Amino acid sequence: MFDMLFAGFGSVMTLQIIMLIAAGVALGLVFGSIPGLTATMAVAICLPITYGMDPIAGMSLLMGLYIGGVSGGLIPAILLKLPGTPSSIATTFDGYPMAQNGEAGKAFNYAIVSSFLGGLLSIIVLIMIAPPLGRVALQFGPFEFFAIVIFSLTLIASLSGDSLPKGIMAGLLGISFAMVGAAPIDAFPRFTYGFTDMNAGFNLLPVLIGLFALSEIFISAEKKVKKGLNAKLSKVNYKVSIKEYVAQGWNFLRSSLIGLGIGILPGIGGGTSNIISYVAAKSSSKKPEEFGKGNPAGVVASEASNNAAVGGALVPLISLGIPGDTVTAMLLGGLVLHGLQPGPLLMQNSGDVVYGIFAALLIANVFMILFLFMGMKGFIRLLSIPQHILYPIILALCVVGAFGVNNRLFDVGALLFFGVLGYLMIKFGFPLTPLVLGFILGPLLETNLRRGLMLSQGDFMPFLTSPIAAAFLLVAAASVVFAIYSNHKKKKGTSVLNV
Amino acid sequence: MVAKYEDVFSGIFLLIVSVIMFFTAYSFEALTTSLVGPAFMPQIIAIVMAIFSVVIAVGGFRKSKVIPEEKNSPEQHKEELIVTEKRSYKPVLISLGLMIGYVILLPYIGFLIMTVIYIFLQMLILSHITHRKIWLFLLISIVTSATIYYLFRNVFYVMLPTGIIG
Repeated sequence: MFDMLFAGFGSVMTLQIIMLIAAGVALGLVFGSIPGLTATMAVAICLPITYGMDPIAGMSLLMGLYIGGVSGGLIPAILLKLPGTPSSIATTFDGYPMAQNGEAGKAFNYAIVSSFLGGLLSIIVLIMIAPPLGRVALQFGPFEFFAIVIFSLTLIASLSGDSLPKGIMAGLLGISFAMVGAAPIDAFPRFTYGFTDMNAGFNLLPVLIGLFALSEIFISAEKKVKKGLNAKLSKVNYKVSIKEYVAQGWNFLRSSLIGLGIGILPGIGGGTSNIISYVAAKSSSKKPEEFGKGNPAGVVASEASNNAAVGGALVPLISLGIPGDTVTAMLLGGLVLHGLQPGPLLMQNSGDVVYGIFAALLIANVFMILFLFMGMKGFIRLLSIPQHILYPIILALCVVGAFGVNNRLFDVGALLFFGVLGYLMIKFGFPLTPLVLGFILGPLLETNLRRGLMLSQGDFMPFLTSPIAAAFLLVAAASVVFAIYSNHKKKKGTSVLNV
Repeated sequence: MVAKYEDVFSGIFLLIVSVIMFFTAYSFEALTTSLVGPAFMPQIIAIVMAIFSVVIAVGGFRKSKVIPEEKNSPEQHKEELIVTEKRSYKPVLISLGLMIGYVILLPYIGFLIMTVIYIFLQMLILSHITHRKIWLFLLISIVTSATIYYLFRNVFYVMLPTGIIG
């Protein structure tokens, strides 16, 4: 394993790739820090840049963006009480009060260091468990894979958004959109309604960019913001003593493990993990009443867990080809663009790229802590760029990205369609993430179902009698029961996330 | 009004979609001799979708009787600090029209010119009247469009449409 990792470092230790990682982290931090711009958007508009690169260089850039995008959100969360990304919502709870008490520098220090360590821990876990998990997954046949996909689908439905039926509906819509075009196995064109352009179906990238970037532009068109964000930071005292760090040790470890675990589960990711870690830190604290008034433990919990979710979300992506959150869904699109096949075979066929990705993540994590400590003033100044200047430029880049996938305008049309769909879904209270997961998992589900039935000559029983498949289906059923139970409980007024 | 019945509307709409889906799938022919053809999954999904659209619509109908017209979430309250004008759907529709026009004209006029026009107009739509700096917007749109065009054509090899200046 270590020789593979050294080889990975060898392949990214070129001036070009190091520069790409650094640029990725810097741009990711900018996108993460400006509210309304997300890591997903950063990856979306940078994907077309990677078209001409070799896979390792391209994926290294995207890893830098991912790490930077998740980390940048802490800046406005602490200074302005505005989470730059959903991953830093819980950072505002205690980070902002700390800044109000004149401890902004201290809050930054805690947040940056826990981001770095949380990220590092999760990347190490990723490197340790993704390869063996991928090897195990190589033994899986269609029955097992079908069960894993069902399991992943029940998770997204059960843990996204406020309304269970709407989450499930969004997932079903995703599966339906993935059915447009040639059917798996026999390639019968479905739901094309006579348009030959539709035969190839919808490409993942326009779907993602439309849903997550375009919809934001429509939302911002609704209301006109008068002044740009105004953040000032005159002098920063970053000083935190070793003793104060050590005091956060257990909290840090628990939060990182929560982030890691939630990251591994498909479809949930950093947006949820930071809140759950915060609640866990608060409820296990001896002085829960101090939370919300500037307790550093709240900042550590939130920032350690959201960066730990990065490594976690990459585990199912690399070993199974199932994305853990929206950014990894985008990365999945990136892998496909570079002709790599996501799934258990990725490790076997393109091990060099996978270990290059691992090395790039470790390097990106170092750049992240360096940039945040050295360039804090610059990032704060960028917060004041108004959205009405950023969004039109982002749309133009989205169009380039969608066009560049296949050099055809149909994909740009699809981009607009999914942008409008995303906007309407937000307006009508449907969560977007389940749609993306459904879109990616739907074809896997159908392919494995039909392949399995061909293998068993129409017999459904092997789906239940294969031990691994049966176990996953059982867990899936349990998670559905749990989801219905907690949804029912929530309606009665006792919210699970009582923050 | 819409906010009150949003779940009823979306539920009914999705029910119609699932019915169309179900019957469209009847025309899918199985090209292999297998028990489960290309119509199987779409029909299963359509049935489940229909069930959940009814659940959403009925839930929404019940909710509309319980809660009063205006819901005042704390989130909306927070936004008032930086938002000066009321939410309005007109700029959303204008933006959509602008984007559609941009995409349709792209292959004929070319990326370079259309992008300048699009970015400039979109900035005008999104900005507040006190923030409309016409010359700055024009400068930004020209520089951005030219940079993207030359960078992507010459460095990243994405063949953006040239249109009339090619």
